[in-house]
Amino acid sequence: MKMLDSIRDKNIISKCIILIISIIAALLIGAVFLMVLGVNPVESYYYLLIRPFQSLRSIGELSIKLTPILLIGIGVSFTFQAKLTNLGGEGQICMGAIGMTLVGISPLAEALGPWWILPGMLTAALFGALWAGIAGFFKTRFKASEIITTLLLNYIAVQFLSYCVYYPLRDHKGNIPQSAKVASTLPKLIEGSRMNAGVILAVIGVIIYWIIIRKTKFGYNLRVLGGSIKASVYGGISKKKYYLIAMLISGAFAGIAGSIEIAGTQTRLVEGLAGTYGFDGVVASLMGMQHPVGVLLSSILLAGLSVGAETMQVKTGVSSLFLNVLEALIVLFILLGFSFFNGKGGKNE
Amino acid sequence: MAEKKTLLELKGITKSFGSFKANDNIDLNVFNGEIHALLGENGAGKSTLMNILFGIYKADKGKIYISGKEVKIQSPKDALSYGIGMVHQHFMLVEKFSALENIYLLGDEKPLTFTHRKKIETRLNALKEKYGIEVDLNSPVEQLSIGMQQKIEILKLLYTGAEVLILDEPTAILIPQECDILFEIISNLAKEGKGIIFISHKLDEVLSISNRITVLSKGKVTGRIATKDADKNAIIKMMVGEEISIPEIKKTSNNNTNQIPILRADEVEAKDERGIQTLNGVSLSIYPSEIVGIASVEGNGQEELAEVMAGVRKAAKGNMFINNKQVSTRAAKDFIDNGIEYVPADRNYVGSVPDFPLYENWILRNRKPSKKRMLLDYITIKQQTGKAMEDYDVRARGAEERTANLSGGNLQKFIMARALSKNPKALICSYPTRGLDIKATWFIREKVLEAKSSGVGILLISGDFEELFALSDRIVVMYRGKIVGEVLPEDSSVREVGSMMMGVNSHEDA
Repeated sequence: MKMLDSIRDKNIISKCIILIISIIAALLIGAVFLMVLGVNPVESYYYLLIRPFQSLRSIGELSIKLTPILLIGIGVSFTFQAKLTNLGGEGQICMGAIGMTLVGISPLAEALGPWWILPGMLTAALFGALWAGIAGFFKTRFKASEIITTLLLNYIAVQFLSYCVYYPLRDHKGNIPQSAKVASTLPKLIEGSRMNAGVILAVIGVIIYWIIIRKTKFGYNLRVLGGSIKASVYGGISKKKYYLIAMLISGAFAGIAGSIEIAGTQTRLVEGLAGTYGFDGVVASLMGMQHPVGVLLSSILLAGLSVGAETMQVKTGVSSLFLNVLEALIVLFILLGFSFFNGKGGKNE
Repeated sequence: MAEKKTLLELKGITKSFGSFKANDNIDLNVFNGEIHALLGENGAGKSTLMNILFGIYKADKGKIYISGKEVKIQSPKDALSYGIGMVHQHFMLVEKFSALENIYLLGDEKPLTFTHRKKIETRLNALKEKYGIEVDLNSPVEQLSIGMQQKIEILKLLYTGAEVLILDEPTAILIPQECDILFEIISNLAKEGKGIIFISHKLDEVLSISNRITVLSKGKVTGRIATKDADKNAIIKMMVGEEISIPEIKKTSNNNTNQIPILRADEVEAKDERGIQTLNGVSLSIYPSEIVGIASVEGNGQEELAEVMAGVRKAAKGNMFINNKQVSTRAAKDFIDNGIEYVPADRNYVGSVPDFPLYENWILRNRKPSKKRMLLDYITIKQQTGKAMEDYDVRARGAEERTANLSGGNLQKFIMARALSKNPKALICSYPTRGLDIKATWFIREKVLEAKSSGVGILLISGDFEELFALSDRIVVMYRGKIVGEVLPEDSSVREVGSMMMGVNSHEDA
């Protein structure tokens, strides 16, 4: 009892312990699966967890996956702070990518040279924000659940992106449905890897998030909304306004993630460029408990896992889908751990 | 009355929750025909003790004897079979069922046929007659008043043959007239030889109806006294462990005619959370340096009135004026900027965000917290919080303490400190002392009085008549969302206000 009490007092530390135990537990259960498959779990985990960090090339790959996960994770964290859920990262990336491409293949981009990326990103942020804003508008105006609307908007955005690459934005030089190359790309950071300047932007995003949430009245108001809606009414904080702004910010972050995909990684608009980043971002935010460092670390973990899963598939023959099992187990254990500890939290009079 | 025999005896009851001793070696006995008051503040261990007796908790140590025989009570069912019954603060009734059906539910295994129903009804009527309990047996419980439902609970226990009846704060939810009826029933029960344990923290009623008093404080018995020898101050000392000086309260004679009201509601109507209109056109002015008390049974629109006047609820109709200037009821910011402060009834979720550290709650309902350049200046904010906590004796580990960890009294002091730190023009207090111990209660009341004497106009909603009469300069009575009368506390009585609250004898048409 005493020990549990002392853990509960140190809120953040106890949560971190839960997280680490959850990850270890998930890995242990995963190991059982691997053994059933007849694979050496130690070897598999080496490829999954350690290998991605061992070479510059694979760290570069990791950074490419990290950037969108982190940006979405931060964006989603804004909404989670106000107890809103934005599951529309995927669609917002798509819209951001479309916005970026529109600028990137326009005559304006040719004229601006590498500086086209700035207006491009602004456009992408705007596109993403507007897409999330639709859900925000429905939420504040008609009380429509943002969980449903953001999710449904994903399908529309993904299909719209397909339409764009097949028809209006299609590059007719080739047979593949894709747009023309954008004018220029983000600068590479390390020779011999694909790491680009986007990852720096993502880290700056984390810092901005930290300042806004912890140090401004705006962030404070968001957190009051998340902490108790009744208290926000008492404090004269407009629920509608802050819900909408949180959604817009969240969408803007996703839009920028989309723009970096275009200007950094893909260099042109292609189908499926959003991948699973939308949901990985949500997982990163939940796992990191919306704490800036937490979101950063869990994004690195998720990005590392997805790079490692590919290596593991090649080296040991275990399907990279194994990763889904592992991630699901991690989330499951985290939820279990938190509900276990929260249920016992009492008042100390 | 028959000869005095011990119905029930508790010996050395001890119960701990973790490291907290809720009950520490408590002895208690109840004779037949006796009303035994169990007095103590919130958290003194009264409810824990009774829950042990009723088989809801299991004691760590101690023995229970019934008519001299040791018994083990493992569940409420056991307790009932030994003749111990309890009326909880929250009634255990199926709302859609009638009184008769609720009572049938308690133990009968026979199907409720027409003839069986008649049999139960006959028995119940006999009991009603014997103890003077007037209830409607056949209407669904939800249509009956709280007082009525409580009587059904008592009847239910009598039907099961309870010899010892535990009443857990039975008067907390009743208006004075209903209290009188309850007390009559209780004394009838005692006359018929039942033993009654009457739990309360209200001294006056305990002194007026009980035979013996046992005082609990911090889990221990701190006093045992026959009521006829009891003295109010001595009992308070037993309850609190120290003397409490109750300040003399000066009333403000009302010379409001020439003044501008700080806050004025004009024909205000509003809906509650469920969208049902509960406020039906109320006009009320609050002037500087006065306390306006609102008396009404809960759910008669007083909460909505407080919220509209504090700017946190939109009025469906009608206008609000601050210093005779109209403000929109849509925007709390106008109220906040004009110095209208609010101490809400729900301190845990409205008055504060439970997960925040105290210093973050310090800037709730504050539109201009300390800033350095664009950012919140938490260093200054923490200093302000710390100072307020010292001034208002808020006991916590510091400004960083999580708000949910504070006890009700400390949190209320904190919220009061926050409201008064902004030098408000008007202060709206909704049940400011509900659930607080005597010390904290008087601390809050003194702060309200201090604010009044410094010129603040105060709206005080309270369910505690003693408080309303002691503090208010005038009392406004509400019934069904309307004001049905206004009295001066020195010219009125609890009884008069009580009947007005029920919608009878009002000065105006209800």
